[in-house]
Amino acid sequence: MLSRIWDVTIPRDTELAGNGDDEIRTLKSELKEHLEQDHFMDGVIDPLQGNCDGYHRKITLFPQEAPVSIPAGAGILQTTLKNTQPELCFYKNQNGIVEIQITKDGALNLDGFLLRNTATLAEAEGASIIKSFSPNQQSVTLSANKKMFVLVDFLIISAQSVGSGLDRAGYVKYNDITLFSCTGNLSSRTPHPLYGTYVNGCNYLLFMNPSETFTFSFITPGIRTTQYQQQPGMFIGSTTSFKITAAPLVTYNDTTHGVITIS
Amino acid sequence: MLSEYKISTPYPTDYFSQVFANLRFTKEMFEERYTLDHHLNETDTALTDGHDKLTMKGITINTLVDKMPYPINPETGVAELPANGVILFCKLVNGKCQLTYAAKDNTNAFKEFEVL
Repeated sequence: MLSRIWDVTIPRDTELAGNGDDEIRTLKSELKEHLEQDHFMDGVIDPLQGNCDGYHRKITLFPQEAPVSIPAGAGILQTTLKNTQPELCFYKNQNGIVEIQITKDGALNLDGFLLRNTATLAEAEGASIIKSFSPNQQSVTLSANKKMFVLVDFLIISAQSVGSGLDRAGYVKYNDITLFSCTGNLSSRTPHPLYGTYVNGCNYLLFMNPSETFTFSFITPGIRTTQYQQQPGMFIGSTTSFKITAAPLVTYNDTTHGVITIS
Repeated sequence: MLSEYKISTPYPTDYFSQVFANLRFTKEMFEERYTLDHHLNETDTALTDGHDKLTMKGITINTLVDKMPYPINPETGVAELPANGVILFCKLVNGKCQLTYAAKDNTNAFKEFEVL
């Protein structure tokens, strides 16, 4: 409960001059009382503290009509009534006012996200990217220009040579966490019809933001003895030893397609 | 248009009899700014204030400009997130406003997520 309603007609000119200091204190109290409904006003004065005076304590959003205009260069976050339910929406200028409804029926709104392999898929350009890398390369980076869920498969193949006198185990890691690994000798594996002796890791699901990159480090396995290299058809290229397949599983149905980049 | 917000008024030379008018004008200046995004309780003290909306001007992150979204640590001269705080703001990306959420992840690394 607030101590008094906001009234810009007081103090009146007929107020006693001796009450001037009281009225100034009252005004400061009123300002604090209104601000601290949603903002910190607890006397913390260090802006490096999350509860510094002026920062938001919370954001109470009373439902509004959808905006008919947006100030230049700005976006608006508000709640808008949808079937009598307040839903969180973001509005921005993008060839007219664009509404992005963040919640629906009080939960995260997934209406804008469309599953892959449906007729209305907003498919990323470069979908189902397959890229090969040489044994000398030891990392691969994925990035996207917009948010999307991406399904990634890896395929590592025994290299043709790994240096003198050494066998080499293979692996794929993300942030030093091993996703999967294999020994240098892959002879026990069933040969892949296209790629020969191999180990794969499938169905790694990433949620990619435009500002993020995912870097995977890898080492291709190999054995010094070259029994499998000599068999025709086991390798499709002289240096092919690592493959990555990336495909958008779910992407946001915006006005432009997303792009996955592998480098 | 808003009234200009002057912190240099009232002047020492103003008549004291204007003190209450100045106070009322101060309240008006606050109200016209506050009510752009908030509503003010003017009828019932049981009705608390709150936001109507958040209008956020798109900004380009620039650590050399004071009005960037992150406060500068005066000891290090480096911008950082307030302790135990997160920031929601509109970031200009290729000239378009992107609703952006800035927070520290579980490794205490600072991250920005362009949400929408």
